[in-house]
Parts: sequence; structure tokens; C-alpha cells
Amino acid sequence: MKKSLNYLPYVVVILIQFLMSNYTAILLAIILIGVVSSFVIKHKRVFLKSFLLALAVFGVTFFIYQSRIDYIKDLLVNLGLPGVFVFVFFPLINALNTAILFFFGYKIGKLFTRRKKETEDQIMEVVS
Amino acid sequence: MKTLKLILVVVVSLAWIFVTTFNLGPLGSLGELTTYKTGLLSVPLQENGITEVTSERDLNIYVDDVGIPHIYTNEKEDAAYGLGYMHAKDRYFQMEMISRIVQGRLSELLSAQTIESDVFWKPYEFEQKSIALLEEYKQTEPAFYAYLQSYSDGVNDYLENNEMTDPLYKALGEEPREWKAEYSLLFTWYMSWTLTYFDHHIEQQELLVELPENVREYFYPLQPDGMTPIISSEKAPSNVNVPDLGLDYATSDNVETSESKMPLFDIGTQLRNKHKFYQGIGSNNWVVNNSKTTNKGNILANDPHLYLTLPEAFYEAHLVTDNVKVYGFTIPGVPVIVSGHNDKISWGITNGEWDLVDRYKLQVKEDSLYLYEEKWVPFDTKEYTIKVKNRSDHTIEQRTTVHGKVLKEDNDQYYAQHWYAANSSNSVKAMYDVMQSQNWNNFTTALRDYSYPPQNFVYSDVNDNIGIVCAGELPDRNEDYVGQVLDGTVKYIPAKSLDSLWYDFNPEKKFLFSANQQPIQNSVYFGAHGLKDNYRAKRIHSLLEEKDNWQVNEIQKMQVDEVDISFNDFKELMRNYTVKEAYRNIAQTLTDWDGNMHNEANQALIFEVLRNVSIEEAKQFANTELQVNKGPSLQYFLKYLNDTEYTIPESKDKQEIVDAIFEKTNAALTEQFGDEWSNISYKKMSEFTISNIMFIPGLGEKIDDVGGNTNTININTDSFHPVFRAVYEINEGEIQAQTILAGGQSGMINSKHYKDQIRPWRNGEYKKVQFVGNPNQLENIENIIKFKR
Repeated sequence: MKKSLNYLPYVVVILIQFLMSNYTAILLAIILIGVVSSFVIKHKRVFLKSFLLALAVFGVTFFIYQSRIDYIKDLLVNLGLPGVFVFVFFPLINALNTAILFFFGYKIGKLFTRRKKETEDQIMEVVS
Repeated sequence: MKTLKLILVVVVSLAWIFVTTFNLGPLGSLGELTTYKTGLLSVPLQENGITEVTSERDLNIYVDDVGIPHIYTNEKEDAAYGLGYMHAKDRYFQMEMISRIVQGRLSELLSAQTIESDVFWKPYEFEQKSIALLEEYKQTEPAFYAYLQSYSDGVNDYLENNEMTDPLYKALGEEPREWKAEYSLLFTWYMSWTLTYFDHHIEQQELLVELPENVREYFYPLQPDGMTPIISSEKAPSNVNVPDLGLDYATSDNVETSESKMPLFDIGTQLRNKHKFYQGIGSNNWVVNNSKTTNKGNILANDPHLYLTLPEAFYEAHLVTDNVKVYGFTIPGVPVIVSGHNDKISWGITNGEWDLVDRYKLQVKEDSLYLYEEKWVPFDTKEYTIKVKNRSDHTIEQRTTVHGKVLKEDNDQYYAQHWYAANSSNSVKAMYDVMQSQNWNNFTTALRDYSYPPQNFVYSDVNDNIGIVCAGELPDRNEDYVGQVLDGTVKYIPAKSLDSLWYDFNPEKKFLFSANQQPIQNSVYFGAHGLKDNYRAKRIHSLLEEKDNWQVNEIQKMQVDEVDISFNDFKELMRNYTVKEAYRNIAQTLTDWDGNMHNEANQALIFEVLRNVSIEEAKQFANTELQVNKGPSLQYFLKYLNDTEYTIPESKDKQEIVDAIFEKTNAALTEQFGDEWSNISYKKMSEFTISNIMFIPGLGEKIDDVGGNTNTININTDSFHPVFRAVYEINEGEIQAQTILAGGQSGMINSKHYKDQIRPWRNGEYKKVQFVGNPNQLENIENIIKFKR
């Protein structure tokens, strides 16, 4: 149960973009979840885990709906780029974006917790 | 160390956030576009099959495998509703964009980049004019008003009841706006801007003042002898009384259109420059009567030329009601067929290219007062507010005189410009009547009310009649008016429209055609048609004249004809002059050539460079020898060079001019194509790209296997190409059509009909039109939409 709770923030940041239709709101929500996660998650390699999980989900989503953006392949080819770059543009950038935003929030949260810890340590030192 | 790492993470993250939230021009950011719900992956594709829609209307729409809707219903209004529904389904973005352009509201959708466009359009107040015109129709033409309203209902019902499937809206982060019936009336002004907004009067004034009459008539004849007008006529002399306005000559072919290097997403500038009027470029239509065809039925052909985009300007549709059966090309946003056929008649259009702009020279002091009837009068000023997406409003001040809007040229000279086509236009109503016409009488009656932009309508009917009408409102100017700049200090008397209809019907020659040439040679001033090359018109005329047994496939072949007959004048030039040894290879290469501007031919490449150099040389000749800004057209320049009897006194030796032409041609060929230019095909010059309507890089289509140039029937210039080709044949009392669009039916980049007709279009192929009264006879239907109560 505790382990699944540990993974919940990763899942929520992915799900959020299937539910919300305002990008600014999505962006802020992911960062905020990252901040909150810093108090919850005990893992190391948060960025990598977030990225891989997002890549897997967005990869599957992309393969289901890729016919919707066939024109992007034409666009890339017309610009002299390989059509396979469409994989870079969608699942990869989306996963990277999600992971970076999440990690950014996570680190900000960590900054607070560290600051808090440092302050507590200083108080403890003074007290002792 | 830990702190440093943290700082690094924060900095990299912030940089990433900045990059991924930075808007790509008017489009959303990279992050927005690649995220599922806010991005392109969430835009569904349109689905085929049978759809049932609950509606107050009773109609069925059958969409075939090229995306053409066949709309079957009892009432005209329901057909309009169905057409509105289909226009919204396939082309709504284009409809919204053009209606916004004309209203001066484009920046509300595309933000600051299109302010320039809105600054131009807003002061014309077309939004208010369209509302007033619709209100007038409500009182005077209730049936037409109901028809427009039904169309609008169809558009809005589609928008309200269907998920948006156009990725451009998603990319812009916008929703389609509600359609209003008056928007359909805005489109004539847009077409008028593309087809009539040109102003050559300063140059014309210079020619009239600076050149002796014999020189002017030689190089710049308004009514030249060799001209083939649309309608046979007697040439009448025009006596010209030109006021000397003491002009400083600022060249001004088309005001406010300086084209500089454009940034990647500068849609506003692209829109203003690409679609603008280019004199001499236009369209073709012709008709041959039954005595000149193999199957003894009239054949009518039409291929209008416009700036090509994806989607393009036209949309095919088939409407079948109890009283009207009509097929043809509509402009999305407007519920009428502008070129097409019904069960009795067929018609096609070309641009009239009439001069609908007057230019007045003003005397101004203190940048605010102009001399008018011996009094200093202040400019009328009016403020307009342009709303800009995500920005604060932009306010402009428009200054006008009694004549029109005030322009200040580079030389600080003030003018006023009056554009007649900015008046209220009855053209949509006229086309509504045209598409219901059953005979020549109905047809001409309908076109008497046609306003702007002036068009040449070629006609054919099932009773073996052919005809042509040059329709539009021509200002009734002074008799001595020939395009000069007018005096803005004297009393302004607004010119009313001439109450005339110029037409030809069943002529003895058995054919009729138009290619944007002079409508008729008489004392009426239509424009400066005589000043431009008319090689294309001559080519059409000669082909139609020399052949008597036309078949449909030969007419189609003629539509993609790529022979430039200006080559004949160059051949004469090469016969009359000795080409220097150093450039003789150019002349020799062209010796056995036939003038066919085929994209694979090396001669076509050489000739096109030679032709372009000659045009530049003509301009230089005008500047240095004639001391005027405007160069003579190529045909009059070549006529001069080939003329052994007439030479401008004290001018450069003609042999020197010819030497310079070949020298510069050789240099240009080497500079542009290297030393191996004799092995390079014309493809290198003739290729072009059809841009997406938003000018988004990569969403267009490169065309590299089409030849032709500005003089060929299959026109190919930097800017204009045939937007569709259509041939209508009368066969055993029925009209059979074959058509092709330079693009596709859908305006959506995710549709298979976005550009599926480009391949056959570039190959000169056609599709057979399905014009049947019974929907069960339709073939290749992919989608049926049934509307039931």
C-alpha cells in the first residue's frame, strides 16, 4: 500500500493531461504535484522514473492516435526532416516535459524541506 | 555541491519551461501542442458512414470519394442549409479567417501579427455595410434573405452539434465563432480586393504628361489596333484632355504593399502581399458552339487564376431541389455557385480587371488641411479600435477627404483614393439568380444586378446558344478620363455606375472567350488593358479560330497548353539582329524550339531568362530613353526593336539594346544555374509551392512538374495559377462536366481530401462530375448525412 502511494504522484501527473484542457493549468498542476511529492516520495531517481513511466503511457497513446497526426509526418518531410521525428515530437517531448515539470516541482519541494531541516538543525544546535 | 546541483536543475527546468511555453507565432507552444488534451493528438478525424441528424430540415447529403457533397431536398432553403453544414464541416477555418479579414477582426484570432491587415480593412466598415445590406434584403428580397439565413443555420448547426475536427483551431487555442448570415456578403469585398484593388494612376499620369502622343500611342496604347477584345466592336477614338498636375512621380502600382523579408510566421504580411492584385494575370474561359464540335454540342471551359493556398478558394457542391438542380464551384462562406452548370445552362468566370480606383492629387498644408473649392478644409478623421488577442487594443485614426481615404506617398505628396468596389455589392444576390437561370434571358437579367468584382461570364445552354457577358458596375466617369490622376481641389462629383451590360450572343465566329483582356473597344474607359501583354488572349483566340472539330479531351488539353507565343516576337528579333558570337549559343538553342514551356525543356529555361531580362531592359529603356517610370509591355518593346522604320530620336541604337539583352541573359543564366545551364531543365524555374492558408512552413505542397509561364494558357507565375479547371459539354440535351481542383475539398490538414486532387490537377487530368437527379444513381459515396425531424 505504501509502495503504491509512492507511485501515485507519477500516475497523477500523467493522468492530469487527459483530464484538463488548459495547458497553463496542467503545467502548474504538475509542478505543484512535484512539490507535494517531495514530502511523500522516498525514491531516488525521481526524474528517470517519471520520464520512463510517462514515455510508456504517452507512447501507447501515440500509437493509438497517431493516424490523427499523419500530416505532421508530411510537414517534417517537407521541411527536410525524417518522418520518424514525429515520435520525438509527441511521446518523447511530452514525456520529457512532464518529467521535467514534475522534477522541477519535486526539487523546489526538496529545497523547502532542506531549508526547513537546516533551520530545525540550527535551532537544535542553539538549544543544545 | 548539492546547492550547485539544485541551482543547475532549477535553471535547466526554467529554460525548458520557457522554451516549451513560448508560442510558435500565432500557434500554441510546443508544450501545449504535444500535451494530449491541449494538443494535436486529441483532435479526432472525421468519420465516414451513415450519420442521422435530428433537425427541423428534411434533406440528405451524400458525400462522394473526393469529398463532394450531393445535397438532395425539396426546398432551396434546405439546400442552402445543407451547403452551410458542409462548408462548416470542411472549410470553417477558412470561412472564419476571410470573414474576419474583411471585418478587420483578424487580430482577434491571430494576435498582433495581423494588425496590418486589420488596419487596412477596418476603416472600410464592411462589417456595418454587410449588416445594412442584409437588412435591406430582408425588406426587399425576403426569399434571398431566407436563403442566406438557412445557410447560416446550417453552418451553426454543424458547429454546435459536432466535435471540432480542425487541428488549426486546436493549434491556435481557439474555438470557431458563431456564423452570421451577413458574413456571406463580406466575401465579395475580399474578392474585389484581390481582383480590383490596383492603382496605377500616378504612372499613367506620368505617361500622359511626359510623352508625346505618338510615342505614347506606340508604347502605351490604351486601345491598340491588334487587340482582341472580348466583344467584337468598332474602335472609337478617344480625345484626351489631361490636366497638368505637376506631379512628382512616385511609382505606385498597388499602394501599401511593400514586400520586405518576411519572418517565419508573419501571416499578416503574407496575406496582404500574396493575395494582392497582379495586373495581367487572371483567368481563362471560352465556349465553342455546336458547329465547331465533333459531337455537335457546345463545350465551355473555365480555369480561374488566383493565388493558390491549401485549402484553395473554391469548393465543389451539387444541389438538387424540386426547382433547382445545380452543380459547380462555391466560395466557402457563400451559398451560391459562381462557376458551374444547372440542367439548362453552364457558365464560367474570368476577372474583368476593370479600373475601379480613382486617385486625386491633394494640396495639403499643416498635415491637416486640404484645398477644396478654394477653401482649406480639415481632413475628416475617425478612430477605429482593433482588438488584438492577448494584447491591448490597437487604435488607429483614418483620414479621409470628400473623395476617399488620404494617402501620403514617399515623396510627401498627398493623394486621396476612391475605391468603387468598397461600395455595397449586389453580386451574391446576382449569382443566386444566375444559378437558377434557365436561359440567356434569365442569365443576362440576373447579371444586370451584378456589382463587384467585375467578371466576364461565358455562357452556354442546351439550346445550342453561346454568349458572354462583361458584368459589373463601371463608374460613369468623364469622357476624357483615361486613368489620369484627378484634381482634388475642384468640386467632387461622385461617379454613378453606367447603366450598361456588355455582351455578345451567338457570334458568327462560333466561339467566345475572355482572358482578362479589354471587354470592348469603344470610348468607354474600362482600365489599362491595352498597356499589358495579351499573348495569352492571342493564343486562345488563334487556337479556337483555327480548329472546327473540337472534342472535350482537346479542350482539356488546351487548358494545360504551355506554349508562349511571345517567342514568335523573339524569333523575329533573332532574325533581324546579329547576335554576338559570345551569345550565339542562346540563339542557336532556341532556333528549332516551338515555344513550348515544358518543365523538362532546357530551351524553356533559356527563353524564360531571356524574356525576364527583356522585361527588365524594357523598364530601363523607359527610364533612360523615354524618361518615364513605367516600362512598356514586352510586346510593344519587341515591336519597337523589330520595327525597321521607327526609332526614338537620339535614343540608343537598337542593336546595342539587343546585344545588352543577350549579354545579360547569358550572365543571368550563368549566375543562376552555373556554367552547365545548357543542361538544366525549366523545372528549376517553374517549380513553386502551394502554401497552407496560415503559411505554416511544411504544410504546403511543392509542385515541380508543371511548366508554363505568365503568357501561357496554363499560367504559371510566382503568384497565380489555375485554381480549378472545368469543362462543360452539352451532350444530347444534357450538360456533362469534368472538373479538377488545385487542392482538395477539405480545408483540414488531417483530412484525406486536403490535397487529394493536386496530383491529377498537375497532370492535367479531370474527374467526371456526378450530376444526377436521383441519389441512388450516385457512385462512390462514402458518407451519408440524413436530416430528419
